Amino acid sequence: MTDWNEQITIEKIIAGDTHAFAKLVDRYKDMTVLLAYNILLNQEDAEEVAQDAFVKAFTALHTYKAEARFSTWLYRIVVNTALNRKKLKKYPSTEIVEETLDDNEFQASNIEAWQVTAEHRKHIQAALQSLNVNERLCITLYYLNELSVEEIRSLTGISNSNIKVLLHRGRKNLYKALHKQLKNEITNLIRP
Amino acid sequence: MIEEDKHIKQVLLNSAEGTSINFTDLVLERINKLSVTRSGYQPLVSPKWQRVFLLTFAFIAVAIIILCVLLAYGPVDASRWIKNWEVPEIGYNKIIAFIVCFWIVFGLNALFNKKLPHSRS
Repeated sequence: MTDWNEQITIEKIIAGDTHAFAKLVDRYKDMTVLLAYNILLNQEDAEEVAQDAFVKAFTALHTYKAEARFSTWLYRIVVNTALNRKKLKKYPSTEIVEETLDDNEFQASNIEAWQVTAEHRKHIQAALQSLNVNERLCITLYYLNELSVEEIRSLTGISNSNIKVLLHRGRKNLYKALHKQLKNEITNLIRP
Repeated sequence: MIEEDKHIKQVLLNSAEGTSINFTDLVLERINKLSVTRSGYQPLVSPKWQRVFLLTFAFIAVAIIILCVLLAYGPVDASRWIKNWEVPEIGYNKIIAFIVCFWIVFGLNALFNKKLPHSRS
């Protein structure tokens, strides 16, 4: 269910207040870009897709029904737009970085305090690359966008049991890939 | 959310670079452009089809004029030729009823569309 403030903002936008839409964009831009990124694995395209999705959401906002969460509705648009882009554009497979970082590089016991460098990001991206698109999609929607299995089912059309399998397998593969890439305590925090 | 989920979320959050600073501005710019395009005049058909329709209309108009001229001053008795046409049995009442119904529904639809709130400037 959409929260009350969000619902008021949506009504303002439908009534013609374009600038109220900026609030929604600001609130969801990071999650939509990350979601698109985890499908396309390309930052530039992910931003473009997220922008397209926001424009589509704006034009179709009058069709949005408040029974579902606004975020779920928006993420559906992002997923469809990103998957269409993926179909249209052939993405070159990124070379998986085989080198590993020094064990001493990660001293932080708390993952949230982990300072991500460009190199770390490259390793995470390589780990994500090792997952197939459905695994990445389910993992992202479940862990990052915090959707329930039922919401993922309604959004992707994948059955509940398949989503659970994809989540389990995706998490396992992500762990394996991260372990291979990072070989340090960070991977110990994520058990398959 | 359990601790393990938070860790995966953190890894995923760190997977991409941050969203560009002007992201919101770019989205709003595109939306404003879209609104301007929508509020402006948009032809129902493409210019190519407009030309085709115009030519067809001109052809029909010229044909009618030629027929009128022929009927009035033609060397051959065109009126006799027309009078010899066998007009099929058509229910004119039905045609008139259809035209009346069409315009009533058309008018109601126009009225309904006017009342709909579709202001998105």
